[in-house]
Amino acid sequence: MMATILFLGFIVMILLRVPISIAIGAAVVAAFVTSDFSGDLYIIPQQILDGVDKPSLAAVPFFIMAGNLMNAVGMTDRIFAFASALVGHFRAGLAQVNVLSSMIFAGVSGAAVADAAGLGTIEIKAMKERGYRAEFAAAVTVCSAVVGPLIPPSIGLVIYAFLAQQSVERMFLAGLLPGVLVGLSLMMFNRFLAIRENFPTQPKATRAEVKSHALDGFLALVAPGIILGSILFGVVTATEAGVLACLYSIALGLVYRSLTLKKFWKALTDTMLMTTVIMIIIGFSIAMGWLLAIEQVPQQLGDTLFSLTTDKHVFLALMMVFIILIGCVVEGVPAKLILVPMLLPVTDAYGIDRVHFGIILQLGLLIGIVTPPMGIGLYIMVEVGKVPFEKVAMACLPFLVPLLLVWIALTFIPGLSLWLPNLILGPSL
Amino acid sequence: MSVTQPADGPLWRLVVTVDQGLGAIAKVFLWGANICLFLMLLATATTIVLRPFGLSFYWLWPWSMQVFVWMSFLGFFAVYRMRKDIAVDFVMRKLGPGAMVASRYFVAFVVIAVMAIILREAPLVLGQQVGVIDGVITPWGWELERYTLSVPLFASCTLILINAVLDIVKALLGWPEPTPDHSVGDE
Repeated sequence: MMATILFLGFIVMILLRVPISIAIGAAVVAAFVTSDFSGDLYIIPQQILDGVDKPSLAAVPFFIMAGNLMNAVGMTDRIFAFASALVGHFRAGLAQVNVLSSMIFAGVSGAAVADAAGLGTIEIKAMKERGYRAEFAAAVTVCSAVVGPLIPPSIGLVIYAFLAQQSVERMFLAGLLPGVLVGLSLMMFNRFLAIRENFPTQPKATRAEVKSHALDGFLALVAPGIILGSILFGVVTATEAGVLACLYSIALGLVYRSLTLKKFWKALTDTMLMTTVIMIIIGFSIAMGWLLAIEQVPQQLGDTLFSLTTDKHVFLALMMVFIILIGCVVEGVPAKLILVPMLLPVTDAYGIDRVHFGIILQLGLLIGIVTPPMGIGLYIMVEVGKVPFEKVAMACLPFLVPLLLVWIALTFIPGLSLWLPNLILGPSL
Repeated sequence: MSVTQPADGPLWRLVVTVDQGLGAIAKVFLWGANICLFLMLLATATTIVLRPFGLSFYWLWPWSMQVFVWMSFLGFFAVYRMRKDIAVDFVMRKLGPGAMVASRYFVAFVVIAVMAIILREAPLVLGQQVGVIDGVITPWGWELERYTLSVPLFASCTLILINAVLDIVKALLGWPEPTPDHSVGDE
């Protein structure tokens, strides 16, 4: 009953235009009022404070800021130019450039929105100029932004690591191969569409041009290696790696003389606003997690699922349907905050590795950014690409095929997520 | 449902004054939250830079966390006032202008309810937060008390509540619904 109030209350309020952080708060209040704890509402603000005051989440603003700063100093242009020289001559050249640019940018930024909003502006403009339909350009841009929160650093994986008590390093390594797989699958799909729809191509860049663009963007291209390497070699913590990424972006801005005080302030403001929304949602979600745990909702859910099936693969298939449905109506961060406390004890009981579950959940919810009604990526494209919501949503539909195929593969082949972290860090205990 | 009030009437002038006041406070909160974020960046950067020299200040990390919490809570009002939170409006839009107006009131009432409940519990929560926070030391040698962490949360909740009441009054006066403020990042 209480879980129903939480879920339905939240979804109804979202559909009635209540802002997401308030909607989750209202759902939590409603659940508290109808539970045995209606006289203990002080737990809500207490848990909000507890949720926000978490050292493991201090990395979140810095991975957002790194992406915003990269956009501010114009590194996105250099990344785009390099990717263009490298794969622009392929069939559907600029669509491939779009995906490759997102994969490179993902190595610095931890948020899909920074990718979609930053790179998206350049990519959509360039694609439209070369004769691509605006909605197709927007669809490729937003679907390729899905790669961002898989390839480290990733805010979503930092939050999951905090919720599931896993190491951030392990989660980052686990996301790397799946991120590359998603990118490659999108590129293959672009090629398939290019042949079918006879998309425009552009002349092949000469070796000298590729070299020139690589040198031009070299400092941006090595950034992902510096960030991931510094965490893996134990030089810095995850939070410090985020700060390192910011400092590196600032340094690049100074080297290229493209960072002004005004741009820095804008990056700071955008970061603060986005982080605040995430942290307030986390705060309310911690209160919700407390209530779910005390009311033993995960145990009840586990018992119900076990009565349906004891087969791990059938359970995984059921869970995928559940995640995709939730992902369609609830934005990624709150969805994760609702689902992890509920599903984790159940996935533990089925013997599913927590790191593997984290990657399944991450990609499943990321697909939600390109599906209506809560597809945040679609809203960004409406703004950035000036394309109607319905048109972008329709144009994104075919791209769900490669995304879903990779997701299925990741779900049923745990090695795709676990091989790299186990190889570098050893098996998890 | 709207109350027609001449554009220069006393209620109208009061609404304009309160609205401008809230706008100014939101800017102060935005600046405060941004400064907190910058200090957090600075503190962590200092830690990284000093590490190779074997230097460290034990109060840097506790202060980083203090300003992180302050940033989140100060930013809460700025986010609400500037409509930077995510809200889905296409369902209501499809249902027509009547649904948009009704949902405008509904949103404001939900906000008031949630904020009022949080604020009602504020004295109890503040009373429970006793003792100092280890390492959050001031230049005068004493450490900040635990309750200082949540003061900005209750301040933001109060302002959000006032803003929501004002939204209802504005709707009654027939003011158009404000749109998200895209200019804040350009300041």
